[in-house]
Amino acid sequence: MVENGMSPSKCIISDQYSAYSTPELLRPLQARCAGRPPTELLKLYSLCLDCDLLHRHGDRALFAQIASRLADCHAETVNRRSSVKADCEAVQQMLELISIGDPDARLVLPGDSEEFRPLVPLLNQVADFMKDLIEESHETAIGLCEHYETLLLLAGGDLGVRASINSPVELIAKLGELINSQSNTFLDVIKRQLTQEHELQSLNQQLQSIIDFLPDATFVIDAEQRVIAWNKALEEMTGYAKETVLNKGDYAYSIPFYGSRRPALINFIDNEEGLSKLNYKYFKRQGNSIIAESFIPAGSKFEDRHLWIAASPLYDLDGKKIGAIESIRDISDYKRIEHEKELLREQLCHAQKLDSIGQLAGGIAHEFNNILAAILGYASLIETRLDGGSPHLPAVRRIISSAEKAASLTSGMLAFSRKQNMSVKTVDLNLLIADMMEMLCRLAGEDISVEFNPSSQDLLLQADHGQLQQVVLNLYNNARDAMPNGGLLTISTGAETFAGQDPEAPPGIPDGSYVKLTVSDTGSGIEPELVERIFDPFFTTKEVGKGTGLGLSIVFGIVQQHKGHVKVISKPGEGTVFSIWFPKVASSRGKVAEPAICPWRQNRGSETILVGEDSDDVREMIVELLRDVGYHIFEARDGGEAVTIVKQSGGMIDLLLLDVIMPRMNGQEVLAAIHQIYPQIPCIFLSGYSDDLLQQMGELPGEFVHLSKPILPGKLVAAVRSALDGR
Amino acid sequence: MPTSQIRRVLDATGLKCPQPVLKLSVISPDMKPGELLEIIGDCPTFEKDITAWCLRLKKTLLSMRDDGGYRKHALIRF
Repeated sequence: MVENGMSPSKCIISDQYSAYSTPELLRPLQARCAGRPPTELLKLYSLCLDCDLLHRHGDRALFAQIASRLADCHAETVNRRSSVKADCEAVQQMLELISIGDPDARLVLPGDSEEFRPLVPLLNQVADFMKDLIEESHETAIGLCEHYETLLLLAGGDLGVRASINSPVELIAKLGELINSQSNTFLDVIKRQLTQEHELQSLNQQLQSIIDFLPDATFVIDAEQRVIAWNKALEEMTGYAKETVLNKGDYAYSIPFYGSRRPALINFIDNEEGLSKLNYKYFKRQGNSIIAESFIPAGSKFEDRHLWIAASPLYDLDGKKIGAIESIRDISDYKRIEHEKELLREQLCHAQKLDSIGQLAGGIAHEFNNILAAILGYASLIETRLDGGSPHLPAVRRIISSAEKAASLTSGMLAFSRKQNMSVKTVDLNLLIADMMEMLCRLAGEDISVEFNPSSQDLLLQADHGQLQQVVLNLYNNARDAMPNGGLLTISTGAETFAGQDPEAPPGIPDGSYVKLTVSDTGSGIEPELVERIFDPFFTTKEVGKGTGLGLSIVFGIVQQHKGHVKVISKPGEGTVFSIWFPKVASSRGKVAEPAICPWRQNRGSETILVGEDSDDVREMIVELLRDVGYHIFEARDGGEAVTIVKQSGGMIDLLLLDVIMPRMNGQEVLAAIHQIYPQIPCIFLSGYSDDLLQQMGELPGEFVHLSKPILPGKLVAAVRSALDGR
Repeated sequence: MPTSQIRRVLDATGLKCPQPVLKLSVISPDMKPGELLEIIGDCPTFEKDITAWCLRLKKTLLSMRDDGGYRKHALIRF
């Protein structure tokens, strides 16, 4: 409300006045005032009371016009104020929408007031700008959310996910492309890594298979000494499954072997400190590797074990040590076999030594036999030619006696060398010993008890009766002499059968049934180092003059000759047990007839005999001996000559006396040749070697007699007579 | 309780867009498949943003409740 002075209304009116001062302008004013209530007109009027225009003009009509005009103006002003207000509110609302970020904000002026009209495009432009900003920021945000989600999936291992590249926001689209590119790169890298990992796993599997295939027990540890490989051979050796040991450290790999956690050879690759305390039997370093032999005493699960162990470090491509491998071989069987081989080797050496000695002794004895045969023969001839009262008779008999002792000695040497003539027949061991017991008991001293424990079975064997007696006697004497202070001497017999690898069987004995002879004493025993020498000829622990050293050698030789086996168990101070096994036979076989020994002078004859003998001394002695008792003799120095003489004799030869070994043709060949012409001629073979007879003639037919050298005159003439009589 | 019945609430009132969807993405990794999330917002573009987010990120918008003004409740299944 304008009260006075230069109020806005007054100014308006003033302006209106000038504007409406013309009739053309007053007319509309009048029209606008028409119909208005007088009070409103009055208000318009009183407002302009102090208007200088009114005073200046003093024109009532004009006043009326002005009043009318003022009334119009007032009404117009009221209208305008209403429009402005509405527009103002619209603008205000628009600004509020903009302020809260409503992208749909749009200004439309309800009053269309000219004052606000210029704001419309401006505010709408701001709203459009804001809308664009909002849409872009929202697109950016959601695009970021999408990429964030994509990255999350990628990080979670979903390599197939792809980021969106269709965002209208260039940066977001590019970011999507970058993520996809990076994802592809990662995917390639991962694929390569997966391929490499697969190859690595394949290689690892291959290595594991190789380690598993290794026949030696093998394990591998890493740099932290954890087990990373444990092969099947090791599982079998220890009984520990791979799963129970893998990835375990702190010497877990030692438990299966040693029962406790302790360093193994694999722990001494770099440093040997403490190795000496672990009692490795052998240790050697070969470059980076080490080799050792370990002995593990028997435990609850295993017997004594010998292990051959090798350990070596493992390096990566840079030469950095990343672990180690250890290989273990159980050489217990090998060691046992080696030990057995060593024993067999010793036995073989011993047997070869005895065989060599036997060959030497046999050869010497054979030569001596020929000499002794001549000495005995000629001495016997002299004895027969001397008168009973001759002063030379005692000397000649001493010669004969000494030569017979010498012959006995050579017989022993031949027995040892297994070249003694054998007269094999079926013998019952129990009967043989029983027959000897009276004599044996007589030989025993007062302090020695003799027991004989015969087996209830028939113990038949193919043997030379005399040689078997010799064996019993020699063992008996040896046992008796081992008990100078008395004791118990036991002779036992029995039967045993061995089949397969019988642990009770003596070493080297073939499978089969055997007759067993045991002679044991409770005497002084034999020192272990002497046991293997007791069969050596001339080896004796007896005082000089009390033993020849041939007793056990003869036993050994006879046993060998009978395809038997001998075993000695002796403990110093406790006694000795001699066990002998002979092949057992079920029934008796044909035996070689032994000529009865008769006084040789009573066995005279006049038949014709061919003597084939290459040894001049022996041949001449035989010839003289046989001629001395009436026989006609042809002499042959070798086999060929013997055959020729028989052929030329025209059938006048009654008996052949042939040495088994002769030049050109041996005894059997001579006999065969002669028998083609005169198949009925009997023959006596002479030999110093039983083996020669067996090897060259096979088993002798019963009608042929063989005589062992040295040939005693009485035995010879008796055999000749017997052969001639038996034709 | 079935996973689908587990409901978490994210109050995004007072936050101007696009803050609600950014918050939604931050919380998203913690949500298990089938789990429900209720998000409340009062931003003028809330509904549009949530709808676009669900569509683009392949989540299921179960409902959108208008509380008047700009305040709205959205229910999303992950």
